[in-house]
Amino acid sequence: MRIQNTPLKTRSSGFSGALFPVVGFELGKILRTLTSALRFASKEAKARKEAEGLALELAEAVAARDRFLDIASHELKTPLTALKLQIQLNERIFQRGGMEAFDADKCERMFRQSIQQCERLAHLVEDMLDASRISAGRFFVAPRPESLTEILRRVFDRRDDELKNARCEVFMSLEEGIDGVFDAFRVEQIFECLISNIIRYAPGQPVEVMLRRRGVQAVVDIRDHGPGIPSERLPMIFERFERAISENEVSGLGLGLHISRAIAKAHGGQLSVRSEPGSGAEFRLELPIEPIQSSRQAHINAPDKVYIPS
Amino acid sequence: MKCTRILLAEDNADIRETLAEVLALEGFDVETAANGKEALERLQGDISPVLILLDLMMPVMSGWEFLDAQKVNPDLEKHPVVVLSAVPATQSLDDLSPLDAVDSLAKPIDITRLLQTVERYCDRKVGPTVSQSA
Repeated sequence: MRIQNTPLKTRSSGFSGALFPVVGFELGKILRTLTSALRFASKEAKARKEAEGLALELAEAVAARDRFLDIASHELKTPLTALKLQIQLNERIFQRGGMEAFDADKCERMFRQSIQQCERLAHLVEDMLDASRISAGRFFVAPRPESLTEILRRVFDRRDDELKNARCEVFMSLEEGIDGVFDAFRVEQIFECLISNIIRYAPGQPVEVMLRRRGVQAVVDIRDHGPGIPSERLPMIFERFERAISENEVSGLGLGLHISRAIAKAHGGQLSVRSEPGSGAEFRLELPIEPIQSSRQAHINAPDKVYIPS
Repeated sequence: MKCTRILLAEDNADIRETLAEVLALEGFDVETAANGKEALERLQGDISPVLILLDLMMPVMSGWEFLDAQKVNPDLEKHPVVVLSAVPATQSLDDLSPLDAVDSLAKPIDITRLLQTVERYCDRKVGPTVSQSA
């Protein structure tokens, strides 16, 4: 520092009368330098902390991306494997027996299986695109006048065989004439997701479905009596790529509930869950019956309401 | 005919049924299981397969758990296992080498490769192969 080079003694008179002003001036400079250095150090520490935070976020984002790639590749390969095997099998059968090896039933089965695998692939791709739209804030619904009672009845009718095969007896209590403005395709998607989860996680158990009007809202409660959701996973089940149980045990992208909640929010509503291990799970969908006026997008990021079942 | 029995453990019904049909077409006697637990039960039922085709990601008991259970039981350990794996995007087939499996086949499975692999564990040749695509 410059103070070390300042002459404190003059050649003629020993200590200079200007010493103290000089020292004062130099001390002031030192103080300013120190303050500046401290400020710099503080800024540097803050910047370092911010950089560490960003690095952590980046590492988490990379880990999430890798996890998504692993799950997505596995899920896409499953219908692709089935489709490829079916085509190769038919190729071998044709190679050995020619067209005579294919009767009408066999052809019908072959076409049905191929179409099912293609639909499964398309469904997976669509879910991934939805997750991307939600993440980018570009997820929208297209509401039109619809009957929620009919939507709910239609989806449960469509999945009736699967529910029966899973030995899930359904008890429905639906208030008639709950007509509002809903995106029927998207609302059906919510019920499809909840039914798929029931078949997957709660086979052999009854299911209760209730629809009622509560003020300006339609409230749907769907309750199963399966194993329930472990309490530690409960806060995360609406997150992307989350499942109620280990990813090694059950297949799926883990996007169904994430997309379902986004659909509910895009309608200005909510999707919530209550569950205790061993006591099943109860999902509640609340949708405004009247059309919402504001941008639907705003609702996706709205805070989640606490679900207190009546 | 020697060693024609194969145990196939795969949770996806479409893949399981089609693979079983492919192998049956080649004259193999195929036992199927929808998860690792069912596969263990089949083995304990003394079906003595010459080979086990094992999926990894299965409900109830995964392929990894099956391999662990097989390792601690000397009676079950003798059956060779070929893993059928949808190798994760961020891994390669080499990452599966620490598994206690003799071989692995990546999904989407190619029938030609499947039959060539099965052939290696059976004292017989399978029928004509058609597709050479990977």
